[in-house]
Amino acid sequence: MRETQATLTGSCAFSVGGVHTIWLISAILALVCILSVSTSCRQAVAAKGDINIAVAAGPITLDPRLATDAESDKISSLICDGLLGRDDDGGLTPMLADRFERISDTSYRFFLRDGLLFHDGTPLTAEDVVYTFSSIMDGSISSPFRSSFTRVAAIEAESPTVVRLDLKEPFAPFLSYLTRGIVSKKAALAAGASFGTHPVCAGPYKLVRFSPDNVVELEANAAYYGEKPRNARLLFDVIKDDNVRALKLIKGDVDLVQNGIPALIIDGITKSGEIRMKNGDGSVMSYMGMNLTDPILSNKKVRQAIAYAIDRDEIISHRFKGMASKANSILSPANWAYDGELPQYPFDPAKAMQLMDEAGFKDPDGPGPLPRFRLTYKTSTVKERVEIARMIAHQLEKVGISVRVAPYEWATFYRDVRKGNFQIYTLSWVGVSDPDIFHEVCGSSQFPPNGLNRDRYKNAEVDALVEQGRTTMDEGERKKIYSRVQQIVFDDLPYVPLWYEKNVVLYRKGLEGVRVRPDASYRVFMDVGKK
Amino acid sequence: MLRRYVIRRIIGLLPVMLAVASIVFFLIHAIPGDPVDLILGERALVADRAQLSQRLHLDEPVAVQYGRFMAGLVRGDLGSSITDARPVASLIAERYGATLLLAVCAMFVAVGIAIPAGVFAAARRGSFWDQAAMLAALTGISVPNFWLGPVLILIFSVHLGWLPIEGRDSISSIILPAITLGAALAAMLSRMTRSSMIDEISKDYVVTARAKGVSERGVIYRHALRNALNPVITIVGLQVGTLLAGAIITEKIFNWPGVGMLLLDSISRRDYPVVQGCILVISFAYVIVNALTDCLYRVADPRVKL
Repeated sequence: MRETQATLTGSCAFSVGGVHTIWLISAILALVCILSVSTSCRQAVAAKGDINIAVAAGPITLDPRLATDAESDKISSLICDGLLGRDDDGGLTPMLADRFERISDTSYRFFLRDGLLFHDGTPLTAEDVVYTFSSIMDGSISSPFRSSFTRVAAIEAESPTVVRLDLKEPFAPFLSYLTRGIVSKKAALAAGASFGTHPVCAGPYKLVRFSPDNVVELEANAAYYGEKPRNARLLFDVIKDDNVRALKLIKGDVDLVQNGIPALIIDGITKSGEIRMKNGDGSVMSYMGMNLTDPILSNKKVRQAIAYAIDRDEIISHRFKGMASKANSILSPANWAYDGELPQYPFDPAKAMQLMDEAGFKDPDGPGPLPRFRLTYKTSTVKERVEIARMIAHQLEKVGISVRVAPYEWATFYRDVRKGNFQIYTLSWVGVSDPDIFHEVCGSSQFPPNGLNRDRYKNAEVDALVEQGRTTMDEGERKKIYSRVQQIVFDDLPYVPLWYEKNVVLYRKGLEGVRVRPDASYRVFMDVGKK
Repeated sequence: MLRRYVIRRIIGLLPVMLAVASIVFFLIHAIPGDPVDLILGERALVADRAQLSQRLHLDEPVAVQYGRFMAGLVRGDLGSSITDARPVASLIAERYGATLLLAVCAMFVAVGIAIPAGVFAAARRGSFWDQAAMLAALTGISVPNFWLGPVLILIFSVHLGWLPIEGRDSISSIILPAITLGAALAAMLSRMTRSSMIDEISKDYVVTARAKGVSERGVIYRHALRNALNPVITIVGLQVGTLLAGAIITEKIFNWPGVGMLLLDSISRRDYPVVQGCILVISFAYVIVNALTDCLYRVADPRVKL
């Protein structure tokens, strides 16, 4: 395009006036344009047998030690295996470590598989494991996961295939942190900050091309220790517009889209029979957060009234076209610690009004225009979020709560939620695997910036239980503890659980092996192939 | 004469660019939202957050950050991206070609449709064709590009299969984005060309030319059109700047890897240096294109004194 700019600048020097000169300039520019396009192809066309997957956003980094956004985390999980992994039910499963032993409540020994190789052909040893976790812990790479490893007292390579980990105190959720991918020490030190775009790990795929705004291309790792991927390559095509993603699927330019097509248009897309759909329960829980320091919302009866006033069935039916199920806990029913005895808050406007009367917020003019009280409902500017907020606001207004929906650009909204500058808002909890999430979300020591207790919830019994849950190593005992936590939180209602969105995969009919996991992990793409 | 004018314009641009740079810096820093929050997430340790703030110089007073920014700008250094540490200048350079290409092609679409349509309508003023052309122009102005883009994709890519849906894979990739972006401008320019042509056609010199036996084609193209083009060039010049800045929606629909997309992503990540860099480059382009437009007056009409 430098040529184009030169031509434009040069146009000033034309001294012969007239329309013909303008057309001449136009013709030259047109030629430059054509040459520019023809020399700048991104060459993302998938070969036969490769799987082309449309995603809404590109990953920011593929370094598993830094990946926080969903795409970075999911795509890097195909490139980098951890000591442990997760199976389809969310349970821990062996990966690079084929077994481990618990020496004591605070010490573990991990045994690496024999003959592990990184993508560059160098052997993966215990030194690489030690380096990966040490680089997270020592702050040298500003890893957002450093807080997960503050309990590690020591980590050492006892032999090339044995790693010992000692904790400062018993910490039951710790094993779940060991699913983070292991990186090549040699490659990471050599690449420095650019490791995120040139990761060298030992996962089922290796990176071929990384253009975060365009395409990420992975190639099956022939030296992978586990079951080999069914396809030769995965191409993640970054398509930011919902409609265009759907159109590319219809045309056959992409083979598969997971959770990337609005529920409202799914029926229209699948009608022809060319596009198939699979869906399954998801673990992402949407909720309405409430500021418990607010004079109105600090009243439990008001919070419960809000829960009774929201008609979730209507929203699930109309907004999600049935692709969601009602939630009653942060944990999804697929989680091992989920309490199956938990009830739901049914849609009951009469009960909602009764509770608000009891709380002292009587309707000043009955069915008249005056509200019981007014609330501001903050949300992001994402279209779907705003639409849902308006539906909920409308439902709350029917029981006498005046709601002003206030959409904010994401960073502003997020900052306000963290600072407690809100009354009510809606967000989702993503990637919840261990019930220790209750410590972060409900522990009174976890008000931001120290943790995730955005709603400023305090309950001494919950505080004690979540601490107990962290140091109890027996899974059965932990389940009992977290059942009690879920019951208390359900009653106290610092936030209203709304729904678990289903994971929905739309794919071309020639594909086989398509399935969905509750955590929407991309590991399932390893089994996808073409007939 | 022209050279002296260009030099004078370039010198005049410097304070404008300085003011633009300052406004951009303070506006970006006035917007709420902490990049550290977005980079490290909620689970980060307080100490790590402080360390990252320090590393990114976000803990310094705004005046100090401003001084650092302006000093870098003078050296041609736009800083580095907060999210991936790459130089902002190279991030923009990678994408600027795509944005410029889209803007220029959209302008070709607009001018290529608008001038013949405007001339045609003016020459047949009041006829069915005049009304049809102006109805098409009204439609073009009224249709938003977030609607037009997907509709064009549906027709030409999905149903007819003639053109790619998105991306930048072949020469034909530019056609739909250029039409989408250029349609509204084509509509506006055609109305302007028509009214400008009607003004010229009614002037005495045109009557004289006709009386002297000049052909209608000669009257229209050699005499009236040349004089009618000046206001059109003004609008084209202004709109090139707007196209460079306003292609964000079209870039998103067609996954066009331009500066607009980079800007959009960087705003959501609070990547201050990249946002500043993008806005500066877009602003500077706008200012430069306006200066070039002034030069083009002279090309179109040698009587214009600069």
